[in-house]
Amino acid sequence: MTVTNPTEYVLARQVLLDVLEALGPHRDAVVLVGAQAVYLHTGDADLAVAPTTTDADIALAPDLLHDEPLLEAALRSAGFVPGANPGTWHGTSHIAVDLMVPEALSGSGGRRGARLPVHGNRVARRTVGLEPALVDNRDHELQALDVTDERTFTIRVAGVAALLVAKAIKVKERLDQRDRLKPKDGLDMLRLLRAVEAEPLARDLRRLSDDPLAAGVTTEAVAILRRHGGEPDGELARLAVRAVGVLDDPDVVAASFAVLTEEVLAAYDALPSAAIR
Amino acid sequence: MRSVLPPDWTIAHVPEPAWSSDTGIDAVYEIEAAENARGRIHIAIKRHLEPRDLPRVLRVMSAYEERLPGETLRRSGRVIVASYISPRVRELLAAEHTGWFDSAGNLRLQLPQPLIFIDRHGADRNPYPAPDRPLRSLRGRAAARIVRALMDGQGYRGVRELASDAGVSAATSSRVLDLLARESLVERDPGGAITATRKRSLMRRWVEDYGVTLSNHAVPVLAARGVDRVLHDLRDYPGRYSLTMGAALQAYLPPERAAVAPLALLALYVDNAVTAQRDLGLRATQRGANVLLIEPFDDVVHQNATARDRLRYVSPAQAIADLLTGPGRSAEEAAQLIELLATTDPEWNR
Repeated sequence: MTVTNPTEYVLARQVLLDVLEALGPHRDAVVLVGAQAVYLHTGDADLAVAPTTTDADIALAPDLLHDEPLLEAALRSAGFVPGANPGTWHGTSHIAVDLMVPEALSGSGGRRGARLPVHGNRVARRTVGLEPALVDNRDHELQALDVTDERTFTIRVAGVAALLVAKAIKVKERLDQRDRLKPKDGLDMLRLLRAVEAEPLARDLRRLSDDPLAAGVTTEAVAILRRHGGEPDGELARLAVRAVGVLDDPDVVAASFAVLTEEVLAAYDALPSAAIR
Repeated sequence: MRSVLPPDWTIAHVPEPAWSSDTGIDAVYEIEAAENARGRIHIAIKRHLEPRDLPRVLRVMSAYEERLPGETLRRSGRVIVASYISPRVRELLAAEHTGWFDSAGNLRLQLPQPLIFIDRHGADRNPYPAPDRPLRSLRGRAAARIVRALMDGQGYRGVRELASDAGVSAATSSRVLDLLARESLVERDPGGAITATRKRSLMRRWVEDYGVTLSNHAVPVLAARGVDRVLHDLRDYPGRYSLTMGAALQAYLPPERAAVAPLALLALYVDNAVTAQRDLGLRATQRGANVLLIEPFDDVVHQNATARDRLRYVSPAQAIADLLTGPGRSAEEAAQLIELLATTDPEWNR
C-alpha cells in the first residue's frame, strides 16, 4: 500500500486545514462528512480504487454558527473563491470544499442554497441526509500531510452510522435518475460496512433513529438497506460491483455487501426502539 | 404473382370499398381459376417488417376482414409484401395463416378457393442491408469512430469530411448521424452537415453502449514497484500504447490544478496485453491489480493521441468515456476533465 501520500491528498488536506483555519470560531459548528470522512474510518482499501477524492464535504450546524465573522468574508479573505453552485468554494489548486447544511435545518425557501440568518443564502448548500452527522460524530485531530505545515485542528468527524445513512439517502435520490447513480457510492457503503462490527453500527443506527433530528432520514436509510442491500443482486451490491469493475471478484464484493448488510439489519432489529423501551 | 399461377387463370385488381382507407390493406386482387372458382387476396405492403411489428399489422388486417361479407371472407387469403421478410417473420406469419412475398424470392400464397398453396424459398439473409433502417445503438466501431471524431473536433463539419476524418464510409457515417440527430445530440443544416454537437449529452449517450472493460479486452495486472515505475518504463517502450483514464486526466490538467483523485490505477491501451505485460515486467494477479492493460476493440482509441513529457495519452474524449465506464472514482475524474474542456470548447457544456 501507499507509504507516502499522493500529492493530491497532501493538497486536499492542506485545503481542508485552510478552510478550518478560515472558519475560526465557527469550527465548533463543523462536522467533516463525505469521502474524506469515510477515508478516516476505512483507511486505504486493498484495491486500486482511490479511497477518496480531494474535495472536502463539510456539514454545518446552523445553531452553532456565530454571527461573526461572516462565513463568506472569512472564506474569501483566506483565498477561497465561490464555485458555480451555492456552498461550493475553491481553494488552492482549485480543490473544492462543499459547505452543507442538513435539509431539516436549512430554513424554508430556496432550492439549493441553505437559508442561514446573517450569513446569507449562497454560502452553504441544503443537503438531505446529513442530519445524523450532527448527532453521530467524534472529535478527530487532523494534521497536515506536508511535514513543513505544522497546523493541527481538532474537528468533529461523522461516525460510520451517519455516513452510511448519508450515502444510502444519496443513492436513493439517484435511483430515480439512473444515469446519476454513482458506483463509488455503493463502494463507499461497502467500505463503511467493512470498517466496523455489525453490533456497534446497529446500536448507532438505532440511537439515530430515536433522535428527533436524525430519525426521519435514518429510518428511511434503514428501509433502503433492507430493500436494496440484503441481496447480492440488489441495487447497492451491484453499484459496489460496478465500482470495483475488473479489479476484484464481483461475486465476493456482491456477497460481502449482502452479508454485512444482513448482519447490521439483524442486529438493528434485535435492539428495542426508545419508543417501546 | 401471375408468374406462379397457371396461364389460364386471371388475376385482377379489385377497387377497394370506400371504408377501406386507413385499414392497413394496400391492395385487393381477385384470382379467377377455370370453372369460375374465384378468390381474393388482401395485400398489405410494408417497407420493413420486424417480428415486433407483426401483431399490429395482423390486427389491422383482421379488422378489415371482419367487415367483409362471410362469403367473401371464406374465399380470401392474406399476403404481406415487403422488400425482405426474415425467416423469423415467415415463421410467425405461417402460424397466422398469412402469406408473404418479398423481393428476395420468398413467397407463400395460400387460398382456400381456388385452392392454392405455393411456397417458394428465397434468401434467408437480407440482400438489402437496409441503409435506411434506422440505427438504434452506438455499439461498435463505426459508431465509435463517428462519435469520437465529433467530440475531438469542433464546430461545422461536412458529412463527407466527417466520414473521412473518422475513417468510415459515407453511408455508415450517415446512418450514425441520423441516430444522433434523432436523439438531438447533433444539429444539422438542411444539407446534413453538422453545425453543432452537444458533446456532454453525446458522451452520456455513447457510454450507454460503450464501456472500457465491456467493449475492449482489459487485463488487470500488478506493477509491484508501483505505477510510477511503469510510467518511467513506458518512456522507452517501443510498442504502440496510449495511456487513458486517470493518467490522461493528469496529463491534460494545467499544472495549477490538482486531479480530483490520485492515480490509483494506470490504464493503457496496448496492441497485445501478453507481450506488454512481459515487456513492462508486470505480474498477472487475481486481486490488487494497479495496472489495466487494454487491447482495444478498434484503433480509434489511439486516434488523436497526444504526447506529453515523452508519454502518449488518448484524446480527452476517449479518456472521459473510459473514466465514465471504468472502475472506482473515475466518474468524478471524468467530470473534472469535462469541466476543463468546457472552459475552451462550449460544446462540452451541452
